[in-house]
Amino acid sequence: MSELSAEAQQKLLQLKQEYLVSFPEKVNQLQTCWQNLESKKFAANEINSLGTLLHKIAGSAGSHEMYDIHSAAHSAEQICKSAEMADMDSSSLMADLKSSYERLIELMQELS
Amino acid sequence: MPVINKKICMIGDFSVGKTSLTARFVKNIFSEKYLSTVGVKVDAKEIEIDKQKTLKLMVWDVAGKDEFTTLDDNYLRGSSGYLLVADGTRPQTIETTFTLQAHMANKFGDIPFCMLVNKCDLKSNWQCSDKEIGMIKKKGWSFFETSAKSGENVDTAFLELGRKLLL
Amino acid sequence: MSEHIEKIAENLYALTARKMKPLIVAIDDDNSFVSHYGELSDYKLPQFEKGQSCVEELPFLVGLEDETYVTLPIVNFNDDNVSSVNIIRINSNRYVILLEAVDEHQREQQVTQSSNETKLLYQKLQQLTQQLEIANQTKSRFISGMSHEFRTPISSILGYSNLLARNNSLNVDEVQQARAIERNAQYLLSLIDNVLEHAQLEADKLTVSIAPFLLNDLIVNIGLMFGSDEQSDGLTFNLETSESLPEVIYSDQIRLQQILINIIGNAFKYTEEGFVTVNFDWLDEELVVKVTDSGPGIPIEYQANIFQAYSRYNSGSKKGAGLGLNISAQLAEKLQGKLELKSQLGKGSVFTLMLKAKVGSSDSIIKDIDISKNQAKKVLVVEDDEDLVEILKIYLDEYGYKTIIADSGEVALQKCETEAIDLVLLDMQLPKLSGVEVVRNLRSSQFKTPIIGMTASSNNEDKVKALEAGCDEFLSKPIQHTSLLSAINNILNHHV
Repeated sequence: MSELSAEAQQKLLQLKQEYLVSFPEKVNQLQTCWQNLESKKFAANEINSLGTLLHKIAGSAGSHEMYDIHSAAHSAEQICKSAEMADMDSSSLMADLKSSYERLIELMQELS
Repeated sequence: MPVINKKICMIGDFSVGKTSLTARFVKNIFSEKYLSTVGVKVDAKEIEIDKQKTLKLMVWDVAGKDEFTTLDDNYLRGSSGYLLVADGTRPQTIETTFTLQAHMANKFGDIPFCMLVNKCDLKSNWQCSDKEIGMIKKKGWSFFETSAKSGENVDTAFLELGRKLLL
Repeated sequence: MSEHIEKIAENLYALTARKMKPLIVAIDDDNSFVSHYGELSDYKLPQFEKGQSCVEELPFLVGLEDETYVTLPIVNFNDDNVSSVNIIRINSNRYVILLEAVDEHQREQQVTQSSNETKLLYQKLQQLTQQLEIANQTKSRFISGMSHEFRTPISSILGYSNLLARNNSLNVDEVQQARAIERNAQYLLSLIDNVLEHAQLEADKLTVSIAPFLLNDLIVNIGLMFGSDEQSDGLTFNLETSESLPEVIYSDQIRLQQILINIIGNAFKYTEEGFVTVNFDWLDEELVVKVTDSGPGIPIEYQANIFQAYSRYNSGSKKGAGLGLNISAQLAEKLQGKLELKSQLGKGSVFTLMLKAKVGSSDSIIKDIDISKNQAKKVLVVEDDEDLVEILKIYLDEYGYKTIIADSGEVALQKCETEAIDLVLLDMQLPKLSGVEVVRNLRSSQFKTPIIGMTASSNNEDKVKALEAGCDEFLSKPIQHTSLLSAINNILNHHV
């Protein structure tokens, strides 16, 4: 594998540490998003907000090689996209989204 | 009525229909076969202008000119007028007429001419755009869409040139 | 002796004269006959009387009354006569000299005829070529446009069918049906992608990017893609690598992966039981990848056309438009390689991809980057995820690039206007002004700087949108530092 310099690796490690430290805040953001979603009965713009947050987590987690979190966030993001395309609220959709979201929270809390 | 003799030339790119137009005008015949003209072919036909004058046109059908050949000015000397001929299915032949007209004006001065865009029986195959036809009309040239095959506008074009010669 | 020569000369002149049929007609200023020398009948001319007009028989005289000397090399008059004409004025008379030129006319006519016919053919060919090019461009535009029109409703079908399949109130059969709709919609999407790619290849618009990459990355990806139980669907998947494989090669990693995914995917599609084996080897400076399956094999009569567009060997009820192998073969060619097939009915198939590739060293990915040159280069990173931005900054800094950050499309547009940017790294999924809109905005204002779009990994549609909007390259998230730096380096080297 082509190696980054020791300095760069050190910086990435530090960044990863800082990223992990930010997890409680991210979990909080996710939970707030979810509460809004439930209270507004899965309105389209709330789904969009959650999707955007999940997209960011998937991207940054993947770049930090946290593939479990990347996969969980990515799956949840895809469900949000399906819901947006279908443009309706559905109990099975909500159930699936909830289960993906809870899985993600669990993973992030484990690492926090 | 006395007959007035005038020399006119047919000039243009090769295979635009100069010989066919001459044959249609002089003998009222048409052949699909293409035979390249070499040097010049001279024919004559009498026409009546406005029922007042009889004009005998000596039609010099000059070999076609393209970017690789030069026009022999000896054939053009003494012309009272000329017909510029282009082929509507080949837009580059219109460019050639612009070059030829400039050459004629430069060598022989402001002698009368008409512009013919031939093969209008093949209008569906015409490659000349409205823009090009517009450019010709904008120059204020006497302009005809002709067909040596059907005869459309052939006599009209020669008559118009004849009228200009007698002005 | 001189007597003989004189006699011979006399006869020679007489012979020549007879052949050329010289005729001299003297006329006055009114074109009226004065006298003649030679045979008038040679030119089917009447016996003129003195003072008679010659215009009828010699029509070329009109207009030349004032000329002192005229030479007309070939004149065809009165239908049958072909002669050279010279007119000389001496005092008050003009002398019209005719010399027959039938043979010369014939020779010249043949040459001119042949030349003109050739020129006409050439002009016709040029015209047809132009028309063909226009038709081809129209076809490509149509296909691109239509592919978008197809994608939008199919995406909607995918979304709804996905929802249906997750609906707990459906019974097992109904869920299967919903899944079938989803699978077929996915299949239609991939068909559209294939048709578009095929059209691009035909129009020679599909480009490849040659850059150094780690071969192991490609092999690992293939393993991950096909190695899971879900993918292999009960078949044994074997991945073999030779020890002679170089660590780094120069090629287009994405296109190479595409070819392999297509061939291996086909192997899985057509093999009911047994195995699919992928073997990576290095022989004589060539990467050789063999995909062997224990499928039904392909009859010999179908093998010759297997790489042609829309050619399919219908084995059972397997679907497909017959473009995958054609695209793979064309891509292999673009990469200076080739794709071959060996197969026997009942005994499976072996698809072999052979690719000439330059070997890089493990440092070559870094060595290619001249840090001193890069210090002049500014990379604008347009990304609203702060965490990702920090990572990208570390990567870019490592290789000497100066990073400018924009956290939105609007800020990115401002920066592009006010700063001298060498490259843009753009998240295609920005809030408010999307990545696609940013690219379109920039390109329409003649912004020529290269743009790399960063897209979500599984979304092919996003990749296509990125390229069509005007991105030069795309990177899939999550972003690996090697692929990021390869892509940047490749683009910046080609845009010097």
